Amino acid sequence: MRKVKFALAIFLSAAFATFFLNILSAPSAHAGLGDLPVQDDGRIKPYDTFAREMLNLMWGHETYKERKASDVVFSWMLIPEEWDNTKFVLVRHNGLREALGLDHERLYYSPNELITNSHLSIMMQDLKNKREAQEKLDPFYQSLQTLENQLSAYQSLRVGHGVRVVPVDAKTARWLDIADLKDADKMRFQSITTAFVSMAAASAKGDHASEASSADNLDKAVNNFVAFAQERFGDYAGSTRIRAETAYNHLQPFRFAWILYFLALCFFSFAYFGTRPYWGKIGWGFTAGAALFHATGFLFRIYILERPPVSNMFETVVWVAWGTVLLATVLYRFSRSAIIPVAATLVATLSLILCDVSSSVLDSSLMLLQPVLRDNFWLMTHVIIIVSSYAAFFLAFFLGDIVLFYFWRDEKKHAQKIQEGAQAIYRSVQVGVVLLASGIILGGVWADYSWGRFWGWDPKETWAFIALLGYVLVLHGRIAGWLRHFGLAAAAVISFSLVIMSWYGVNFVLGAGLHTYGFGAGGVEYVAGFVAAHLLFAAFVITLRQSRLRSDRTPSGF
Amino acid sequence: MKLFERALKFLASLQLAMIVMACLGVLAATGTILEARYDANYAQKMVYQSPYMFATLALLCINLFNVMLDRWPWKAHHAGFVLAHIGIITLIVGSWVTHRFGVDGSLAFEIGQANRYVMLSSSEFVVARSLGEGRYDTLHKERVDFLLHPIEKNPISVMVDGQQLEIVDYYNYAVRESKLVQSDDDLDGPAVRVQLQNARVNMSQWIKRPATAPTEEFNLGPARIVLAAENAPFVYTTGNVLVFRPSKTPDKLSFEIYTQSLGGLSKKGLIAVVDEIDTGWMGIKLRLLKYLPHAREAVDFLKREQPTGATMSAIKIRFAGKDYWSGLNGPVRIHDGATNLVAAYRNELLDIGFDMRLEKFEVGRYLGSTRAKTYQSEVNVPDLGNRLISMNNPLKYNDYTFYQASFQENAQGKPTTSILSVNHDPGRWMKYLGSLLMVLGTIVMFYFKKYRLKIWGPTA
Repeated sequence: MRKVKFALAIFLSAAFATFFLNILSAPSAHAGLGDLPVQDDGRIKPYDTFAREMLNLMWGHETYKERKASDVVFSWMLIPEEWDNTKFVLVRHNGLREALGLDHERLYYSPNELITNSHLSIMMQDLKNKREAQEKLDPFYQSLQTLENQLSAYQSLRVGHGVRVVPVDAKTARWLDIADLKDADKMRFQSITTAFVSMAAASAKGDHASEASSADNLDKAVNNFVAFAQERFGDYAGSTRIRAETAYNHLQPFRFAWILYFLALCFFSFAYFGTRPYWGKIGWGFTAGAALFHATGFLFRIYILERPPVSNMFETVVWVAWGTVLLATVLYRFSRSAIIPVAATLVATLSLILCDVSSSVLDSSLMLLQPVLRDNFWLMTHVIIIVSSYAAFFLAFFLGDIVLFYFWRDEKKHAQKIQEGAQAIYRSVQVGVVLLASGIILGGVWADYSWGRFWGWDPKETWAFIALLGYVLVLHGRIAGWLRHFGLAAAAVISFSLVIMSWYGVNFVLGAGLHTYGFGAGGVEYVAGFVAAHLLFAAFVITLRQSRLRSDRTPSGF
Repeated sequence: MKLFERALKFLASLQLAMIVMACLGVLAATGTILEARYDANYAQKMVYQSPYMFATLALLCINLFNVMLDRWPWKAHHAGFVLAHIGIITLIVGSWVTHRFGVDGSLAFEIGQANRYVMLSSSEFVVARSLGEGRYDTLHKERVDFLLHPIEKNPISVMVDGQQLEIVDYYNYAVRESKLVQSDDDLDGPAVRVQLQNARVNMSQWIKRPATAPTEEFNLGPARIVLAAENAPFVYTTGNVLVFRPSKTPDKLSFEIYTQSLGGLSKKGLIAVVDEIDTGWMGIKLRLLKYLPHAREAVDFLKREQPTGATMSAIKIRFAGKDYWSGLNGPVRIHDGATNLVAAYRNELLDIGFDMRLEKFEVGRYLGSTRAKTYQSEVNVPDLGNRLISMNNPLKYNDYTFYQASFQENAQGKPTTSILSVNHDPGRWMKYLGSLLMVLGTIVMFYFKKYRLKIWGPTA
């Protein structure tokens, strides 16, 4: 057995190592435009990131029909007439499409279709009026605002504006646009364009040999251009950081993490629901691999942005996945209940899939911080602790689901599993309560230190407090003996609605208060559906069990 | 006696704790919904600082206290439980001390200016008699809260010179609208509203000249519009200029057009309201939309159901049969015959006892963008000299703590005013102590076997 374990460990680590090396060496083969430093949105990023963000804004994905973002976005400038009539601008909001008189079936429209739309200018005026009156924008106007951003970004990019590539002497000043380039810079950029065009032409013809040679030329032209700027401005863009960012973009560490977590989930499930407990070992192997990717992703983000990775919705979701796996590992070491890794990898897989597929709601871009959020230890600590408590409650939530499932099947037959599950729920809720209470208090300490206000009933803190109250009620109910295994499982599922409200709801539904730096829009129907489905499931099992107990003539109880 | 014991038992019961916590949760949730619909101030007054909230928290304290008393004499396994519950009580009491005796306001000053008055969130209504030369004699001053004590139920009126001055209306959210209207007062100057229009340009503008000034001018796109007194001299230098003056003919203005390309006067004549003239500048036509020989500014407030960034609260004051609107911190002049008054609905101010001067204000931006990265105020305080206040880096002085809160900038994006948040919190140490005890107690309760409470279930 020990030999098998050892062999497995060697095999898995070798597989991951090869994989990593492959992935990391891949982008340096042909970086092309990707490594070109661009100043955008207050920081210096590789053109690769810039293009991905632009394409994501416009089209909703980071690739366009299997073409690289940097190639697509660069071609907007080269062949604007063609793109003007290509249907690639995403208009997601139904109401907005209706108001614009667009047909219902399509999600994508060409820039020309939209710019010449007669309703648009009137609606833009409305939007402007609302902004001047400083009114809160509802989802309709928020999507109109997105459309405005899409069109204005496209219109400046198609004429070479908005891509700032050459620094000026003053450190913090705006760099020069492609359209503003002069003399030597302009010539050198011209050679980039030429190489790009011949590469695109060769690729269209299917001539792989000349495509490869023009790709080489493109690399050379970009390097030349950067080297020329470096002669004058030194290492103006932080070339290691730029390369790290392109590698991060290319690696997609969180995607690999969820795939491995999913495999781990499968093995843990075979082990737990089936009759082969040793499969759990393989599950832990995959979990370790997933955690490796997961941590790599974090390290990249920390290195690139020089800050802890918990300051927007996307990053908190990624952190919750991480926290859950970490907590589950600790709890498993003490209790050895096989239910724990099942629920934990379920949380991790779901969270990271969510991050991967809903890039328009969970903005994965590497964002800068508001002034209040900078340089503060307590701030980051309170966010990390609170988000970790969400991880504990999320774990309890899926544990609750599984326990309720066994109550639904047959509570006498599965008494052992139920007892194990309930114990795990209780432990997770305890950890969550301690973390949430400390996190809320540290948030208070930070607010007191930064604003002179320990507690101000801000919606975000208020909902965190309500969630805490909810779970404190659960623990008291347990101590008093009002909640037994069944009640605890049902409560873990139901109380998680409070966490969802404080985590997601305050920012995406209420949209009020001081924590505006985490605000966003979208996905309300899915989240509400998720919550409603679980509440219904809990209600169903509760009713079912009550009626069973009545027919058994057992006194009812939770 | 039985009843008394049962009451005590109930006050110490977990049932009551559950009810109180549930109430607290529901109240807090209601507050957040109200805040999303209206604003933080509304939620604070209606929920968080309402008697219901105080009653709930008081009941929670009583409950926590009684449940500890009930377990007397305490054993080792009570340690965590007692610590946590004492912590919560201390925290709540500390919060009450802050609320009751603390100060939380803001201090705004322009660069180079000094200020010693902290603006509080509470408001007052002040009526003063204007004595001229900027001197006032306060006739009436009272704290007001129209949201909690609507004027329909708590009418506010003051007798001034035998006449009644009263507040007759209150809008919690209102938008200020000002327009020029015909005035009966000869001391008010004239005003015109003109429109310039061609295929590409269409704009209109009010121009008002004070009665004491010979001319008033306004740059309206391609042209300069001058509103001059009847006999005021006008010397043409450059550009396209249009001069209006009152004429002998009633309801008509005389006009002179000076054109850049012709180097001087190109057209003159009389114009009546709604008349249109061809200016000769790029086909631009000029229309006189309105002419008021004597104009005054009339302010009106339009009620809104929900707040926006542009709304404020406003009151309507009635004196000697006339109505005046006053927005928060926008005092109004009221005069009737010989009575000259100023009425103000404003935030209460607190004198901190020393002047604080803003020497310098700096904003650091993110690379090549207008987004603020950091900002800081250099202030001068007597006794301390110059000190720096920045985000997350407050200044403590004389029982007050000064925090960098925000700043205002002008249309060119240059910062002009720094806003500090000023705070005095006597309950702070209780809140910190309470928090510490609560968390420690919870950890002891959960993770130290010796002190752990007996739990129903498999572990028991």
